[in-house]
Amino acid sequence: MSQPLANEDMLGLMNEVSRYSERTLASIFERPECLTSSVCLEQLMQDATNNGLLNSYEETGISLWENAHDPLILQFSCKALYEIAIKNAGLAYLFHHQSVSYFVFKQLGITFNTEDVPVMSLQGHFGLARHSLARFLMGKADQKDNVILQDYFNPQSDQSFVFHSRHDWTHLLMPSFEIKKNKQGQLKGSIQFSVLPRKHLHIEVLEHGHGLNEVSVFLCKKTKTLPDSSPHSLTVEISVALYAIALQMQWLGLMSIANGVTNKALMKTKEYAAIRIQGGKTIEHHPAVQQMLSQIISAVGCGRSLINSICSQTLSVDSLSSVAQIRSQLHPQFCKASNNAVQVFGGMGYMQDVGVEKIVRDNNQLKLMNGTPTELMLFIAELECAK
Amino acid sequence: MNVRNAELLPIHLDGFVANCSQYSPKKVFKQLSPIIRPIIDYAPITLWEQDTQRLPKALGQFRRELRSFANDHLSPLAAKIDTANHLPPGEQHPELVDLLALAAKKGYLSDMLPKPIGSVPLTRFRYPLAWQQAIKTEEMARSCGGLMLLLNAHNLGIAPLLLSGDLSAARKFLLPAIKENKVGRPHLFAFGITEPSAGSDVEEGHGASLYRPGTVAKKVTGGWKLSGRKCFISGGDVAKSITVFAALEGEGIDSWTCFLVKSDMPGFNVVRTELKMGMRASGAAELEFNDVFIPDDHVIGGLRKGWGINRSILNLSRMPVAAMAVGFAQAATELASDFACKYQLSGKPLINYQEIQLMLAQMIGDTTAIRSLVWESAQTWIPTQRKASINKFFCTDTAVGVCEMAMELMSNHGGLYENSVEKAFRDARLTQIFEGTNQINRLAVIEDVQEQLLESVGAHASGSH
Repeated sequence: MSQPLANEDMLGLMNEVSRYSERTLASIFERPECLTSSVCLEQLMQDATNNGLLNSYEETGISLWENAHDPLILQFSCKALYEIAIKNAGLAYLFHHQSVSYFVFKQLGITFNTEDVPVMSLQGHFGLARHSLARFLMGKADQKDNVILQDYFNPQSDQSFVFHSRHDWTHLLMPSFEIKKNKQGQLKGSIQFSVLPRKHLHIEVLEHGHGLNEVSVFLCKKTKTLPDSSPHSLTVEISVALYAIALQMQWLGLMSIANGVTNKALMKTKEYAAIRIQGGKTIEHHPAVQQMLSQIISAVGCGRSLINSICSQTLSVDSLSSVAQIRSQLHPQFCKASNNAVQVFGGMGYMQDVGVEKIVRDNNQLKLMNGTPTELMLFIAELECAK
Repeated sequence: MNVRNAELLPIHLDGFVANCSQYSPKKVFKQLSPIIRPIIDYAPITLWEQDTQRLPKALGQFRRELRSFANDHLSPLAAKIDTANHLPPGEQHPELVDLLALAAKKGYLSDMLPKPIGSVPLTRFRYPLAWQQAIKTEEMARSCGGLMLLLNAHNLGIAPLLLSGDLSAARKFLLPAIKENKVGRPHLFAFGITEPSAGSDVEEGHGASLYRPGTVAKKVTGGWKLSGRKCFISGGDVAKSITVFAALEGEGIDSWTCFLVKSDMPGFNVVRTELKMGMRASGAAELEFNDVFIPDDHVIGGLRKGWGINRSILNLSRMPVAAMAVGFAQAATELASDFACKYQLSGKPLINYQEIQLMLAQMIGDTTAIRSLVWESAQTWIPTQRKASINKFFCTDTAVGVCEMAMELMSNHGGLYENSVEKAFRDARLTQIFEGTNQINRLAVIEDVQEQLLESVGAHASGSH
């Protein structure tokens, strides 16, 4: 466990992240219509690992998602992802995904060889398993929920997990759902984690995705002929706590990235609205444009405040509902804001070289991962009813 | 369907009674008095069939023909062209060359006029052009937005020849092109109004009155020299003829004049085609005019008539944009429905779950509502500005919402290219922008009712209200 972070340390770290974004990332990602090569992305990840920004086994300093109990580390993680997403949301996602993965590996005590590239897929095969995941995390799952969760985490061989990751991973940590009898003879479910080598999985790499073009999309099937994957056996309480924390880290990361990339849309839109003339004056003075600009400004501002407020607490099962609530409200606003940015640009907004259409796609993609707003609504209602 | 398959079918979705249940309207309607049953009971038909049957016979037949053409020739090409490499101006994917030739032969590039000049049977031409085009663009957009635009931007290009009332120009330029099209040699037109520094200004009067035109025509002996640039011109890269709007030298946009520019005229150049978010099968071209000589007889509709022609075209062209939005909403709804019936969670197709049913019902409702609006509004030969604009902004905003909901219904699978709905979203997104942004279209409604509003203002001011 790292040392608690002090406020001044965080300011210093954030300055470093800002400098890194401006000096290194800005020029790499300045052409939104050009896809960054996987070699370049790998190098950036390696550099970030070496610099201690990415969570890894090395104890080199304060890194993203290094622990869930220090509010300043949560704040740092969210702010750093926000900053990096301003330059490129896909890279921010890759950083985030690797760091959350390592957080879980460390909690489970799993280590890998240096040449291995392990990643994690937290989500089951569809959404948030309706109400069942929420009920399970609150200790209220019944037999029906257990059946749904078994299918959600251990689907039939014809159904696939979708996950987004760096392209060159070698091992995948996947949750599975196991039902066992407890001491009182009742059937109880628990989430267990297994590490599976890539060569033992049925993997399909998808060439095209809607957004986050820098991130590879995989369809993964759990075949029936898997070798013994040595699941790391956890008690129900520990597995619930770990899954709940990792899920919230995932949500906070997705929100922060969306917040950052929406801020990029805001900066571009303001700049454009200040020079584009229509009806004899710059469009920033037209109420039609001001309405859209205000919505973008509000989405970015509310996003920053709400994410910051949630980071003032530590993550646990108790914080699930509040993180889910914020996520269910913010992502639709970020999507609306990026669509408004396209609209302010008019025809230019639809063109890839301007970059705002990419922000729309990135925001749509971020909204769909690990629970859509509709699914979060069910999740929140179930959490609150179970209290 | 064989008996075995029928036995495997579920008899009801979760949360609903089976049609054979005593609680099902389908069952109890049949038990009502024979006197009342004819106006209560109805046969189970699909929504598409129901809509098609409510069209006049000739339009219903046209809709069926288009569905079949789009399913056979557009759908199979959609993904391939959408993901194909972006080609430089002047090059075209071979499949598109073939598709254009086929569409031309089938009469889809000459269907703004009735037979024997154009390709529309007189039985269909009894019904307004806006209605015919609404049906066509919806069905094509349902299969692929880019291919739909490739085949339909042409009609926008020929609109100045039709709406200028310039019979001599129509005879000289339109008829030979139609002849070529009908024998399968595509002669495409494009419509050039947007300029690099003016998108909205060329779509509304107040902006136009303050705009300094960027494309200018200078009088020379025997004709005009055209200079400037036009951008985002749909189909401008493949068109042989372009109707270009330019101001006369030293004058404002009120001097706008429509010139017929041939793509082989010296000084004309397709600078580039844009890399777009969606509708990628159709090029959005930037056109350059370097002192292009335009003979006097290539002026369409007379000098300084361009602004009027442009505004009348916008009233006609905004309806098909609304209709293509209906097509995208329809595509997204069908894709979401298909996914919900196929994809299983916990051994049950998703459609059994209420939250999925609610989203799907909303999508079906929204799509049905915007189609009804378009079909109701298109039943006129005189499209008004307010109706065209209301259709445009309302249908396109609604359609984009439907596409977003379809992606959300598919959850973490919604962004997968393979599920196609993300493409429907990308295609639909353009409809909120072109033919005037939806903000400009909202203001166009107010512009159109300005007189009534001013009367009301006057009445309030004089205390007579």
